[in-house]
Amino acid sequence: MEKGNHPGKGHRSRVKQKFRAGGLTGFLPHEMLELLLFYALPYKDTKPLARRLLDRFTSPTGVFDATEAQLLSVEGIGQQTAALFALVRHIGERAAQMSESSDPCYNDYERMGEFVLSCFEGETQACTYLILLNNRFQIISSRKVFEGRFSSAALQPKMLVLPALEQRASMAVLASSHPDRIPRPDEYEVETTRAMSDAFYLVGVKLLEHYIVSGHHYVPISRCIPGGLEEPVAYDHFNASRTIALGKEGKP
Amino acid sequence: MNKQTALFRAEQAARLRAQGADDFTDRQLLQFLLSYALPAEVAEHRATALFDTFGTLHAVLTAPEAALREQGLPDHAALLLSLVLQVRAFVAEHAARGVRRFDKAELLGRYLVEIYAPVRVETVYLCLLDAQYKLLDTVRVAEGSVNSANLNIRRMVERALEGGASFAVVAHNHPSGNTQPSSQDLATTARLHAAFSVVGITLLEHILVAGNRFVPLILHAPDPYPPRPDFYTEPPPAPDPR
Repeated sequence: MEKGNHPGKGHRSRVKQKFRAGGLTGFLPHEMLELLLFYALPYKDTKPLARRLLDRFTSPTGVFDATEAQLLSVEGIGQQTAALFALVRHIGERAAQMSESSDPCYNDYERMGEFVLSCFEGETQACTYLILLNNRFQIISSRKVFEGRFSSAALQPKMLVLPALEQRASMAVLASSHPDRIPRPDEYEVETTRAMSDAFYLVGVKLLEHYIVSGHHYVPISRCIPGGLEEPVAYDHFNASRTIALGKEGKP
Repeated sequence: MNKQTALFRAEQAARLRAQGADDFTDRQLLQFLLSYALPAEVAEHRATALFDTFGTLHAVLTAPEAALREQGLPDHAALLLSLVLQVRAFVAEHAARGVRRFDKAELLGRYLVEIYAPVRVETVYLCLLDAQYKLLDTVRVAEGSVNSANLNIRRMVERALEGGASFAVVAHNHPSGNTQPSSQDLATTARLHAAFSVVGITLLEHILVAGNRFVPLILHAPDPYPPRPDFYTEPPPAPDPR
């Protein structure tokens, strides 16, 4: 039969079109098998074969659980077709295990930005979220730590540092919303961020970024701090007792 | 199919049969799979390039079609890649239907994680259970940005009645991976619960799926609807306290 001009051609493109539009939702078991069989049998009508598979193994699960010998006993199934079924099963298993063992890494400014925006969905008041990460940039937790303006005097470094220590975080990200304004930090917020960054630094947690969020936009505050947050600066605006208390802890 | 490709596939099929999948690296498995859509030598280059770009097998299989096309992968081959996890979800769903009892939130949660594995956009599923907690059907009811305003609750209730369900479980996902339910999520739960109870169907749970995790929202925000204690073995890890 000539390539590209076999009788099932229109049928194949219709099935593929259906898959592109909505995935396998609405597919019957034999249609799913047919679609997969297209790849093993380029120029054959795969519908009778799909039916035979279901007759023999009763369900899609039965087909994918069948051994190679069982598959080969079905008329029209060759070794390469059986191998395709095995491949799809093995690759799917491996990929699923992979997603279980590895949580996504948020080592990217944009990706973290997406996560930050999702925290503020439905929030109408100014508030601050603290996102804690382990040393592989995987998120341990995210929580609302403060309601009100970030520059408020009521926001104490302790409120951010304690959860970070309790959860054994290596890194932290802050996000504050400006529901009523443009996403641009004011000078008090910059100053407070610097103070928080220093507080985190003292206990060995790195503050990666402070996102200022308004609606669906965000800006990183580190752009507004000379040298960014990487280089923790002054300790002078921390009171002495705090530094001493930490020093004591360091030398039991 | 050219001669080399036929030879390559026959070799690899023999190897898979003799040594099992553990003998293959992720890249080799991907190359073997791609040889069903591309000539063998092209499949080799593409498999390597895809790993370089996306990093892991899971990332390759869940890559958006546009990104794969940018990598020079023909649609035919891109479709095969996206088929893998879809087939896995399809098989899980059909294995569960009418057979498995989902009398614990934990079981449903793990099932839904499989169902959502290939899903990249916010999607709402409705699981219908009979009085013995057997799964009657899993229906996709909405896609795109989802909140109670654009969720057709009436249609969901109708669907549950048509299916003859005694219990319903609603699920939605956060593609961002955020396990924190939004206040909208909780408001939607309350509305759904009220709507289902009007027709005598109990909304057992509203499950939020984020990556490989899930959060049962009714258990964690029980007010004003108390969760059924027998539906939970032990409380799963709480979402972060607000």
